[in-house]
Amino acid sequence: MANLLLQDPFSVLKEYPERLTQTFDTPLHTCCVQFSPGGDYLAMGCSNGAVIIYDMDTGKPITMLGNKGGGHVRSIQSIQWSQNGRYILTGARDWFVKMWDLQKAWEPAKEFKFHSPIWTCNWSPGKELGCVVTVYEEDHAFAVDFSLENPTATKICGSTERMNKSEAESEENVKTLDYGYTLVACVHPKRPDILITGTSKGWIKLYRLSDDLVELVHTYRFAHSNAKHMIISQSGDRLAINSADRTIRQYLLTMNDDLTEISFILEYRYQDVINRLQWNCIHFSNNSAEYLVASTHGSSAHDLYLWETSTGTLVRVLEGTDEELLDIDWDFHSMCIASNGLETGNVYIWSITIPPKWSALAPDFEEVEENIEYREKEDEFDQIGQLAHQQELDQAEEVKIDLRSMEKFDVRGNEIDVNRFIIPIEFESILMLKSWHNENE
Amino acid sequence: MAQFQLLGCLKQARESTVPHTTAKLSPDGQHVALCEETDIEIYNVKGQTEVSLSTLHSRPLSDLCWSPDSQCIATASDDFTVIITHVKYGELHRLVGHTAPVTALKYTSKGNLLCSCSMDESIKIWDTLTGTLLRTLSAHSEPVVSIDIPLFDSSILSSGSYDGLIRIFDTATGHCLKTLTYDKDWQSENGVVPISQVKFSQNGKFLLVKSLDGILKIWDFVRGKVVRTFVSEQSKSLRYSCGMDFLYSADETLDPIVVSGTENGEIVCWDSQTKRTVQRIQGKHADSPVMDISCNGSLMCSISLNGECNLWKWSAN
Repeated sequence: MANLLLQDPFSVLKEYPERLTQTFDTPLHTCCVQFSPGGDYLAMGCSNGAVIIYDMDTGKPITMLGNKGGGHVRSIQSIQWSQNGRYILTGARDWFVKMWDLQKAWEPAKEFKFHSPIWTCNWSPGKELGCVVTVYEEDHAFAVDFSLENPTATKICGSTERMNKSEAESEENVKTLDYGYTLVACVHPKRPDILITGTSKGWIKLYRLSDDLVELVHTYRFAHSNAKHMIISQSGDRLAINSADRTIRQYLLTMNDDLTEISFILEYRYQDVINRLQWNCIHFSNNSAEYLVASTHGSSAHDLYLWETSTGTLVRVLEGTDEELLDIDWDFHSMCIASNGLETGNVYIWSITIPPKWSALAPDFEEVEENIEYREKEDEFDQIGQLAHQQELDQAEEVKIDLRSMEKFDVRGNEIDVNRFIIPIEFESILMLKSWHNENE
Repeated sequence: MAQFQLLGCLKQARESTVPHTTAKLSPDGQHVALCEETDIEIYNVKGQTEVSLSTLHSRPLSDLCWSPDSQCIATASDDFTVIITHVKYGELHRLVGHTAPVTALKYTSKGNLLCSCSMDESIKIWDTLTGTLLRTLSAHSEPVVSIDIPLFDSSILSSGSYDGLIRIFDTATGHCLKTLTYDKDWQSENGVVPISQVKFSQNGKFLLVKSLDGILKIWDFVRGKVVRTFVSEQSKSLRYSCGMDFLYSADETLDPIVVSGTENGEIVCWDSQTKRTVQRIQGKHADSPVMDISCNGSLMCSISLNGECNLWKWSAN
């Protein structure tokens, strides 16, 4: 975006937010947050099942999903925007996964009911309107196809998984054949056919999905406790797992094209060695995930911790709140992090603050860091011929200019998508509010 | 070589009416809206009158702006207010805050913000959902007469003022990011040359600027350099802020056309790359200043001070 080109490059290119800049005092209790793909909107899932969309330009709520009925009735567990920003997927403790079309956000477009509460829901990029859902006390994740008239759910269970079990029986530790319940899932960002799941007994399972076949291609045990969160970097080579043993493990994930060689190399573990706190939520920064941010569990901790992933060192503590923080989302377009508080349910935004450039107001002036002693430059008062100056200006007009082609990436390396979905304004609600005001006056 | 062909006259000139300063094609390319005293008249591009909306403005209108979804029209009036009117539902918001006549309006591409500028030397940014003022940008020392926001990039706002400065603001913070002045204009012997119109190129990388003396310039605003200058014939009166726009023809390989209205009722078209005059439309608008030019796709709409409004199509002979 062009404003970034005109600001101090050292401020613009900071890689993580630094200061708490905004607090959304929400009327409902927020339990999870997610930015829309371009960072235009922030979706907040609430404890009563409502989903509210905030406009980040105005900092005000613009719509509530299902305001004509059909919303969730229990706490929202997971929210996902589709890549183009038009659809939202929500999973809640009321056993429903719902898909919303923001073109008509007042009612769910499709829904599917499981037999237990939902843990997570994710879009599967390979399939139009397909998603992957993990559910309470189920051994496997489910694939739900919302492109059908009546959505169906199929268990994602490898055809070889049974064979693996019988093989494993011969091994000493009989317990390993039981992977436990599947709790978290994420889709590989570069390989839409690869699904990675994490289980309650500390296993990572890597599946290859094709149209008619599901294959379990790799398993890896990271710990003896359950996976709380699993995230994967945009480039797909870094994976982090937050598990109940108070540790975040960061892995380097390498694989070859036909998936015969897959390896998880443990890079760093992040632990709070003093207070032994658990971590609530984790999130990577963009591209190759230079940074990892986490929120801490427990009433004494009110901060977000940010580590550099290449060295494993803590580089920043994001402060400013008076309560424990839960969910985290990171918008890379405007470089801000959103997190919601446990007690008040408010949403906090940390961003980069770029100081105003006063010299921009007067083009002849220049801002200097400190006083400098004036020394006349060699050519400072040279009389440039009127002619030479004119020639210079004329030459500038000969250079070819491109008034058509758009920039594809912003200065931070994010893709600029001009076809991002814009949530239509609900004129009826404006009129309703107006007549309500008129009556009260 | 393509040229503008007259599709039709939407409105004939009438005598002794208030001056007409604005006519705009809708973003969906289906309608033209223009102001008639305090009313908005909407025509479809076939030339038929569709609807006339009356507003609650008490003074004549100086500018109007379609919302990006083509459902609402915002109008700027000499009564210091802005009114957002929905084509079907009527008035949505009345934006009060300026302390002098409002001169120009611009929606952001998402339609959630509306920017207005005024003779009170300020620019205000409004939330269109609630009708509340979000921020005021005061950085000019004379009336601000024109503002623009790139089609696909709402992060910046450009403004042109009678103080001769072109400024670029950050819409989110309201900070001034850049000031463009061509030193020669700014400090010429007969004082500053007021800026009358600013318009971003479609890709948001260049800014077309017209000053009141009728000279157009394309700025590379990031580098702060003039990259093209277009002169038809110099206006001496410095009276009318005549319209201009970029025309992007459907053929992606062609460079856009710069279309500009003059004080004596002509419309001049230049090739933006070669600066060659490709067309000069004379004999329409009866020597009345062409106050607004609005392009969308291959269509162009022009209106002159006397109220004559014409619709043109850019097509091969």
